[in-house]
Amino acid sequence: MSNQLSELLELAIPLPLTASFRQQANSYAAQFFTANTRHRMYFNSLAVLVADVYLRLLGFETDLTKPERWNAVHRLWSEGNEIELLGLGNLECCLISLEQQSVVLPVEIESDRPLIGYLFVEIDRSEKVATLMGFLPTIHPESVDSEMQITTLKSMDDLIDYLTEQETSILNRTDEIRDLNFEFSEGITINYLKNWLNNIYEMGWQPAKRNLTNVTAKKELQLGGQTFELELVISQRNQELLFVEVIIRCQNAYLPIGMQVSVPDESDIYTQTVEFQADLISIPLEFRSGEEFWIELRLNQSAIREYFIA
Amino acid sequence: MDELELNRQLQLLIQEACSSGDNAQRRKAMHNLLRLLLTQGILQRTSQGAYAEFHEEALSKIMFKLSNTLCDKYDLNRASPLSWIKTCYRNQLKDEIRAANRQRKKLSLINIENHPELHPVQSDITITDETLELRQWIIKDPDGVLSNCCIRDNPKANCHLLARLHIVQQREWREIAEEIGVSSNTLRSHWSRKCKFLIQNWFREDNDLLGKN
Repeated sequence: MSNQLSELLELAIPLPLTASFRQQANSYAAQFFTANTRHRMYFNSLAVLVADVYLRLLGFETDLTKPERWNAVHRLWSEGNEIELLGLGNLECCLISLEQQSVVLPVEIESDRPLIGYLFVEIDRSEKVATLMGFLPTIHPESVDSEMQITTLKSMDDLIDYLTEQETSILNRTDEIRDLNFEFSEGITINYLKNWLNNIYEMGWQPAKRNLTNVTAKKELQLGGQTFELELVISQRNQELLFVEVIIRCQNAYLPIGMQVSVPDESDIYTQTVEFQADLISIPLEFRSGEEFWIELRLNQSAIREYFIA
Repeated sequence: MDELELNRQLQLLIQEACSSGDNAQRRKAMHNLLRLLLTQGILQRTSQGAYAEFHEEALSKIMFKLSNTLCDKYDLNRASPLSWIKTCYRNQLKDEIRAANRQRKKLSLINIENHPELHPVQSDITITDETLELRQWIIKDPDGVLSNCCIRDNPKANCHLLARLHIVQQREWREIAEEIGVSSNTLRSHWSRKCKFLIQNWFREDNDLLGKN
């Protein structure tokens, strides 16, 4: 056994699988149509449930109790075996066996939340014990859809460090949002969406479409040597509420993998990352009249922000 | 590892889990403490008989009790960590057994045969009517909503075929991509942005129409 693997095993933790977990996994798997999928979903769900226990034991907040999480129709039978860590993103649970030399990272994930890592779980034949073996962070977008040697997995200690660091950086980013008012008062350029409704466009914004209910405006932005098109579709629901759909496209056919688009989301920041080939990102938002917000495009080390008042 | 050494290690870990100012250190101490309990045979299944089935449930609950109350409730001057944890586990196991007996008694008063819903092990949730309705709609696509929505210049890669392969036959994207001859990323992107929306829309409208929402 290699050194890396024995180090991994030294920190791996075996946890009990209760009868209620087996029952819940069974109920969820039974909603799938084919025997193979049912079998896979049963074991995947056991992994998800036991990983959830572990994360909660260490004081992380998760959200597996939402009933829709266990409703296959609601999820349109997506096979994402994710745990949402509140405020941090999703941790994808993957089954593993010790005989395996390598792991293939799943590509079947469909979620609105950012994927922050993969957790590898081994389920004992008895189905009464599951061992959390190690993890991989999603810092390299190119690693998606690729095969990794089992010896490259990080230990459970590394997982604790990684998630705790993520928590701290989220707290710092929340402070950034608190500074938003400050930023708005520092003489930055602000786009007033109400002007667009009155046909006034400034600062590089161009009207694109207009009908009885919507106004669409576009602007070209340069970032990391590429040209992006930021499009906002605005519709006024009533005097108080404005619905804004943010759409980002690239002049090349596809958005670059790893590119991020962020918007403030109440007391947090919502970020969507391009994880696979896609030709656009679309984020629906709702604002009260007069509310301040921004849209940030980030590619590698460069970022660009546009500021708005609804 | 002998009992003396186990107690020494547990004491160190409790101290670290309860007093470290660093979140990651505290969590690592809790991880090591739980790992020690679970790998050193401290909280083993006490019997092979009818009560053995409660072991995992008791173990799971005791871990949460430890993680939530260890720093407030444990007093080193009153008991060694090992005997305190073992007592907690035994008590939890007794609670589990009592609760199960109460449930059995309650059920034996009613004829379970006539009330399957009262059986402690729920029957599996199987495929529901609404699931079948949705599946039928996908298979038939009566208005052509799904088949009309395809990847640019590739009518074969349409939502109808994707939904049949992905939802009804539950094939993996890799396989579907090979069959259609489009990259799996492009397929999933089209699926997430267009097809899912169409299906969810129909499902919502259908539920609204039937007053299910």
